[in-house]
Amino acid sequence: MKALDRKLLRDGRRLAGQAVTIALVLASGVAVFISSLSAYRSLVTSQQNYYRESRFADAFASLKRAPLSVAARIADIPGVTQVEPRLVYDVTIGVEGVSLPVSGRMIALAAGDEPEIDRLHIVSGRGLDHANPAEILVTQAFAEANRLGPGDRISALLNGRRQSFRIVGTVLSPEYVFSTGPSEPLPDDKRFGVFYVSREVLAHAFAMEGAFNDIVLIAAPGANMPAILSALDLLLDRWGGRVAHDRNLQMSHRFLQDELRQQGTMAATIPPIFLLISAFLLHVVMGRLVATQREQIAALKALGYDREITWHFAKFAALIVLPGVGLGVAAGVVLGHVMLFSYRPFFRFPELAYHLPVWAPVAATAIALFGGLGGAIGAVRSVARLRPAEALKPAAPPAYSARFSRALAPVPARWKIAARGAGEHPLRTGVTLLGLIVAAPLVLMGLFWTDALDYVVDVQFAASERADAVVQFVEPLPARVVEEVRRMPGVLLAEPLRIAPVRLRAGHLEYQTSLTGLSDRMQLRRLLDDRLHVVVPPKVGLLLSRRLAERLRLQVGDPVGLDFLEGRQKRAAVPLAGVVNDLIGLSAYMDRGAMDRLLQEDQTVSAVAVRLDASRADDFYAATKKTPKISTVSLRERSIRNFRDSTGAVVLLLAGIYVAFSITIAIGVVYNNLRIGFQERSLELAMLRVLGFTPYEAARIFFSEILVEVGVAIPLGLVAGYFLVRLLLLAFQTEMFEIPPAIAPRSYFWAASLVGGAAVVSAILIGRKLWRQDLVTALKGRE
Amino acid sequence: MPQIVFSSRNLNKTYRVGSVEVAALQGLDLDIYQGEFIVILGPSGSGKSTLLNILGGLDSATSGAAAWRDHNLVEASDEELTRYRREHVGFVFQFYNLIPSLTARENVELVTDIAEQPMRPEEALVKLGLSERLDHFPSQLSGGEQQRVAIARAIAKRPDVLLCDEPTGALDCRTGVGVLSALDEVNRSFGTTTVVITHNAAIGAMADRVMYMADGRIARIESHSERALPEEIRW
Repeated sequence: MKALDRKLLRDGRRLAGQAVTIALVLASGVAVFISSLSAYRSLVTSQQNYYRESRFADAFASLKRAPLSVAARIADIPGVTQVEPRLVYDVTIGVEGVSLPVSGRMIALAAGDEPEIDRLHIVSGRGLDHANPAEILVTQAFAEANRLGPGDRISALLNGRRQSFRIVGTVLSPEYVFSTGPSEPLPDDKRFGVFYVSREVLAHAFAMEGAFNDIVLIAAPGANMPAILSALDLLLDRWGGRVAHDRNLQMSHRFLQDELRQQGTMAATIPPIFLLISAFLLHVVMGRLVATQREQIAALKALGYDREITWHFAKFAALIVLPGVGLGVAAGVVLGHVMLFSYRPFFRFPELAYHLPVWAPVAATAIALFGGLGGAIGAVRSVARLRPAEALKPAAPPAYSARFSRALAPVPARWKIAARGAGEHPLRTGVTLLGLIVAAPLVLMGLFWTDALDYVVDVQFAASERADAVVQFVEPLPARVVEEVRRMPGVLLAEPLRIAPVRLRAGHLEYQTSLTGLSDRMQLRRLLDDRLHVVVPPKVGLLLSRRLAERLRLQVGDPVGLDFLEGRQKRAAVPLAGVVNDLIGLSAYMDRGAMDRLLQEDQTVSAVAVRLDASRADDFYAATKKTPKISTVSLRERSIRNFRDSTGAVVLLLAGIYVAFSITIAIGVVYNNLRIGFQERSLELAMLRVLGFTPYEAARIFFSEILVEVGVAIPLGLVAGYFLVRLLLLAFQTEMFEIPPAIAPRSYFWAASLVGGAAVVSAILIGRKLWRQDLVTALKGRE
Repeated sequence: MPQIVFSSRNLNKTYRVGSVEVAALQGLDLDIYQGEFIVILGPSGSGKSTLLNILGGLDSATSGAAAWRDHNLVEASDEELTRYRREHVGFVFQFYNLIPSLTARENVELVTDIAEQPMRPEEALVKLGLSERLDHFPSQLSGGEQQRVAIARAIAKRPDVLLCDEPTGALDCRTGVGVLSALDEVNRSFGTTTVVITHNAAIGAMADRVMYMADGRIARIESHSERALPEEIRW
């Protein structure tokens, strides 16, 4: 082994503490990068594989009733390669021991037995024996949420008649990766499931022999989808067809895309920031570490070494960087698997296969090496530029100017050391500050998600949607139904809602959503503006969720085309009267009277919001089950739980990982900055000790400088964190919900405490070195 | 006969360098009298610096006895050594070791702030001929001037002993002589006991006594009845 390589190993051993913390910072950055990215890529790949293998439909349409011969004509539409007419009904489900209202979607093929489109994947049990009408398949999510399995029984209210079924298997369907009940914004697996039965069951119960009310189709690759959809609309129009749509409006797909986009955005924004910050720190730390070896570099130069020196320090950097990257990649892969495993309850694919894109570890290594080698080589160069004789001497005292002298005049000399040190070494101070400043935003970026979700729940469910339950009817009913609901057990207050599916049009842009008619003195459903003030729907015009107005590029006062998608399918044009601050979903609102007039109805009600006496809630649920005209009951408590369990849980899973790593990085950053600061000042500190300062007095001078740095860095870090979070959220807007930049004071507190705590721990570790400092050695300039 | 202020008997100092033991001082006996100007000469590794470090309370001996007046320097704790340095010792080093972010005046203040009956910083600096350089930073001073600031800093607390480690080692002859004059002047006017260690045999001429060190012992002592003036010294 060459002498220089031996030096390398010994330097590595001597600086082991620092090398390990630097490697850990880097490993954390790499691990977050690799795990988030690979978990996201795995999800996307699994989704693509599943869609392909299960032949997920390209277009969807529902209608009232059409003979099967119509399906054959649909198959003739150019670009359509396969169609599957079906019978689909939303029904009330009875599960023994469950008092909550449960609804379900029953699906059967209108012709044939086994679906060729949206094929089912059997998780447990077996498929249907089509000769046995009492057999039923349930989606795995519903089965798990209600602890059901093959052999258990459930009942369903089919066209007014209760029928009992035996579960023979649990299944997955690409159509219901997320199963969302009608008019619910989020999936609730306990209260909504999808069921598959034999064709005979539904055909018989709903008198649909030889007919279908739903159709899915597969289009040829590259087919003109808008043309197919309009042909479909045209064909189905006389059969009571509702507007046909492609995957983009399919609930499960839409939700899945949103979730994936969110994961993708999280993976594409936060981990690269982690990685870049750790590479930056590496750059700085390596540079400063090399600079402390000034005399050695000079001595090597004097001995005639030249390129070998750069090479030597490059190896020194690699010695720290490569194990860090290796550890990071390994931890990232393990963590990626863990993340993927935790996604299982949310993303119901038959298989979640781990997939690590090759470029990810390559990119991580390149960024890390660039940061580490760049810092080291830059520092070597600056020393190597000096002539050996010059470099061999201790560095000339750095120049100071008298700039601050007058202002500092009354300050004792020992405090001037710190003040001038900071003022006259803007680069060193800047780098230390920057290192300390980036720690807080990292922590905030992980912590704030919990605050954001709490804020959403507070605003959406405590201030806006204040009803304990909303009962929705099978079809719009006359206003007297409100009085009937009010008389149901446990109801304290009942307020009518008119909800209708609509298509909004603005120029060439359109969006399908529901329009809700509200009365002006409603207590249980309120609209809020950006400052959380209550907005009352005006007598004329439409209110839209702010994101929806932006999506349709509408300004207040602009006309909006309104196509009702139920009943007589009225069309109208109304002005946009204002925007409201909906955090979940994109919706439209109107005054209920104005909506009545547009629909030419008289006080029609499609849902009733109620406030319940909590102690009598079960009586209320039981009563709703016995009322056939009620199709669904949505419960606020369940909605909150669903929100926390679905989007919330997935987001928090990632956020938890980010917090863990941000803490590692924050501690590594703070420790290394302070440690190097100590190294750079060790001669000064030793000098103070020689002059008779006690270790305590010397420590006070050194740590007062740190205190000032940390004191400046923490508030700046918190401000930076706020803006970073805002910036991040620009990338996070999804259709289904908006994450507000609502960082709670406690998160600021924790971020600040963490950085402060890391500084205190580092200070204690460094303080011990200061106490044990060997004056004779330190004065010789060796550390 | 002046009083003995420093004495050592059978003083030993052993360093461990890896698995090798290096004996830096081996049974050293020494007496230094109040107000003496002593120059210690000797080749590298003879133990000069080790002796100076022990005298100054920067290092402690392995065995034997060493005392500054009533201060036992062998068994003293770190706190006691710190107090000893703070109250009694002034140091001057080869490379000045000034704090670069402090002006000449402030470097001296650093010491006067913690000393009990110090001079005013300006007084110390004027005494060393630096009245025009009070507010200059080390980077704005020549090597000789920096060393004179270091001496001002050392004497400002009115130390009992001034310990100088190669004070002219980094300077040319003319500048070095200036520094030596300053040391001589301090010794004469304040009666500060002064110990200078150096390789430069010529400096011995200005001492009351010259001690030649070899192998961790004092090999020979040369006493001068008449001290040469620094200005007469050349190298």
